[in-house]
Amino acid sequence: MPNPYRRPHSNTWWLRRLPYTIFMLREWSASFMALYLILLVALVARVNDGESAYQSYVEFTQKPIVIGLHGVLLAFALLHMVTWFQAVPKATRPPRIRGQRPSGRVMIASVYGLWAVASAVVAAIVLVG
Amino acid sequence: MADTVTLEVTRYSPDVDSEPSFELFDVPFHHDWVVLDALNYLKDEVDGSLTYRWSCRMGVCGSCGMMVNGVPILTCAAFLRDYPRGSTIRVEPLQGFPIERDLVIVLDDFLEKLSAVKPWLIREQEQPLEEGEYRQSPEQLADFKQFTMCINCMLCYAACPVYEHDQSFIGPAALAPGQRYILDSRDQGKEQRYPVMWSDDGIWDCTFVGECSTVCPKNVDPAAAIQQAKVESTGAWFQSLLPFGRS
Amino acid sequence: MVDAAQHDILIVGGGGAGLRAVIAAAEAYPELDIAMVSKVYPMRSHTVSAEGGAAAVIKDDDSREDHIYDTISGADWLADQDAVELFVDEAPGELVQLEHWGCPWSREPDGSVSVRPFGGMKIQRTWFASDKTGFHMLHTLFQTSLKYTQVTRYDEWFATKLLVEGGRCQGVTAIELRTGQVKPILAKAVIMCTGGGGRVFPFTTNASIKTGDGMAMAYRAGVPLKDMEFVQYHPTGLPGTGILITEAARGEGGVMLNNKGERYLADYDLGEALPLDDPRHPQLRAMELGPRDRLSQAFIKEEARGNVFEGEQGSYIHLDVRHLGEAKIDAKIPFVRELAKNYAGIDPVYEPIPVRPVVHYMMGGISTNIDAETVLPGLYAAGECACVSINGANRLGSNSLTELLVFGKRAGHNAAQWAREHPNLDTDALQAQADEEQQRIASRFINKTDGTERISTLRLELQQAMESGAGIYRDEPSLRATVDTIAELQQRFANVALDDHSLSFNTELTTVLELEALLDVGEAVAHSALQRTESRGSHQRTDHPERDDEHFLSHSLAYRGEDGGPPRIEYEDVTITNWPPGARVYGAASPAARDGETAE
Repeated sequence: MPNPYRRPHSNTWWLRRLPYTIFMLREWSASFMALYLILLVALVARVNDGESAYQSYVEFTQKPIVIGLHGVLLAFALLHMVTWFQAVPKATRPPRIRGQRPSGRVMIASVYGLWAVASAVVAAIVLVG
Repeated sequence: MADTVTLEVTRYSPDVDSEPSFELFDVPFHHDWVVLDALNYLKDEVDGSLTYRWSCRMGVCGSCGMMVNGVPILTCAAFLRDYPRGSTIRVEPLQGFPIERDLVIVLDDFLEKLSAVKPWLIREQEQPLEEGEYRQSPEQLADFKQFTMCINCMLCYAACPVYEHDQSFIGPAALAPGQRYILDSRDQGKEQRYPVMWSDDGIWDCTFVGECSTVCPKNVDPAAAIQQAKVESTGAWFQSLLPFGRS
Repeated sequence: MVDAAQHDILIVGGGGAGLRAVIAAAEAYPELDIAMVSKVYPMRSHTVSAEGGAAAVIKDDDSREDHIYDTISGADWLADQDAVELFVDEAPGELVQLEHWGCPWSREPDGSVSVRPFGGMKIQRTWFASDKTGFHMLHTLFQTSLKYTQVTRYDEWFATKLLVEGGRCQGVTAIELRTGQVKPILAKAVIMCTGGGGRVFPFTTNASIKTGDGMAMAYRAGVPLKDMEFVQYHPTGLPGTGILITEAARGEGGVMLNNKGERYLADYDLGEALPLDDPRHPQLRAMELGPRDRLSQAFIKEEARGNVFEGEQGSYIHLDVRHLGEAKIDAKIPFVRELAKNYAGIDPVYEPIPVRPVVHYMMGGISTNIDAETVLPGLYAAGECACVSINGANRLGSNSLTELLVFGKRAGHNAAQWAREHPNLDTDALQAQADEEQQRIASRFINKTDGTERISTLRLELQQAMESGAGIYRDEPSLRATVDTIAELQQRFANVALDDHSLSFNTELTTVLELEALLDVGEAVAHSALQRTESRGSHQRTDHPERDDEHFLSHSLAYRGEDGGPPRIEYEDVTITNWPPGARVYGAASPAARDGETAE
């Protein structure tokens, strides 16, 4: 008699293999990006509130625990960037250029290029301007 | 003493067992043997009741997919020499599917879902055969060719954690053919596929883990098919918001 | 007791021919109740591994007469010319129809379908979908068949016996694999599309499922098997596994080299070896694009001369495609590259591929006429399991995929017609037959515990006997030895023992039934080969090396012997219309192919 067996599913499936673990870290990285965004917004609000408010915020960010937190946020931001840039060719069907669609490698290189340009512009504004 | 390899194989007899168990077997090691050769050796010489599917042994029929050391793979393409010597090779039925017997899974769900995406060419008007073939340039063919390569081996479903937890997900090997016909320049029926493909059980159940494409033995890249469909679907939704956009 | 399932037409086998028959019947007669039974899911059928292409005339410089002549001469004049004419005439329409159903044929820049050169064909006419044509055709047919919701599919049901009552075929018994129940599936007409039996030999391109089940079922029901002695060895299979390296590799310009690096085919009346950069290379109907039987025979002769490589898995020669370059290989024969890397451990862009002849196709099969009818009313057959015959003594590559469509469609139409005209079924008598079959399987296999023989032992001995006696070159003593071995194995088969006595998805049961079929197929091949005392096409007798049109311009018909005796071999004349038998010439002296002209 047919008696198909349904295997139970686990909540720790994402620990089974590295690609699944990286996937979960990628998903969580969005929350960490959101947290960083809040810190950035707080920074802007403080700047708006005047010199002393800004200074107290700067002291806050110099606490070792906050620097540690920013280290974690940076790691997640890099993970977020690398994994989502990696995914660009999957979701995009670029137009043909001279009869051929650009390859995945070309697309990924392009977004890194754009990131480099954007970073350079932001760096110029923040550090120089 | 000849070189041997130990296999740890799922056994499940629906008439007798309440749940699956593992059985250990020793098989001779040959440099050019694949896991399928080892299973055939066991069935021929050791235990004829060992049950699994296979046919072409060259990676095109899609029958012999199983979990080997936790990774979905075609056992006709999994060489014994590629696994660490001295440790057992664990062979289990594909993840996510009910087990029929031993290494055989129940495929009914996939076949229903495949039909649901209408995987055939839909034409408003058929051209008479005497007029010859529909013209299609090599570039137009290249646009959907990759998604035609699916051998229905189900490794993608076995790699998908969404499907493991939620069997209502239509799944990569049904969504990729749907997208294949949508992209085929000769097809005129994409709107008929959208309701199923663009549903919550369709592309929107996918969280883009991407392992389906990693394990696919034919480089179909179903993850790409699904994400591209999401882009198209989102674009269409925004268009529908415009006062004169299509709904 | 539950009533037996009843349908108008039942197709046995879900490959290219079976699916084409289903679609043809469903389109022509939408009100018909159509069923298909297959021991595997249809997309696993062996059509899936065909690679090179499907032939049909489409180029302006091609003609029906050229395709007909190539096919007839390729068949060494054993093809029925009326059937070949019909086949060639219907071929282009069928391939266009498949294209209309979405088949992704490879294209020219102007959007028209591409064709490539193929063995034994004077002009390029092989349509292809890169080098996975069978795969694309099968999936196109299967996915198109899903449109017809009136079709009932019995997936993973193993048909075991034809139900015949009142002189008519009225269905089959089949094991539902999931439950192990043997059930009758009744139908007013049955179409057998179960493929060939290459697994009766030890080295074959064929999948494990190619065990001649349908041929055996028809044979046991008294239907003759035609031309069984003609077994095609494909010249380029991988040593050991037998995995197919498509003829398309040669169609694109690949060359075959012996252990001295020579294009040895030039020594075997197949023309001259043009330089690789000569614009005329590859030359059609010459050298590497000669017919498969001649190429496989040339290998055996080279082997006897010591000009082949010796490897762990047998001897081989080199198939060299390096000069095509990586771009062309990836565009035209990507699957060849993948297979060579995975299973031969070499990249054909940089190294030649080791290849040798392996069993590939059976020209013979269930005898049918041009309408796919067998001598048993209500039973039709199409595809490799059938023999019309359009392939005669040797099939040209790329004719078989087209054959599935032309005769699958014909069988579908004709069976549907028959079903409408013969609506009654003798249900009680058929149910009784089905009960008997259930009993037979239960007592001989499932419940038998005192057997002494292992399936794999008997199967291996059968395969070895076939290879040694019924291989590329045959003679009377070795054929007699094979015939005797098969008879002995059939006796020993009565003592076969299974380890698996369960009913749920018992694949050891299906394996033993497949072995039972292989014994019947082997018997038909060996006896037919023994009686044909001439050499023609793929049947080569070293003791009768010449073609003998006076006595053997006829098809052999093998009828199963009574009570376990040897089969009775009769003969039926080949139908000649406009192409009287001539010499079979390949190489530069290839003849023109207009009506009636012969090569002298």
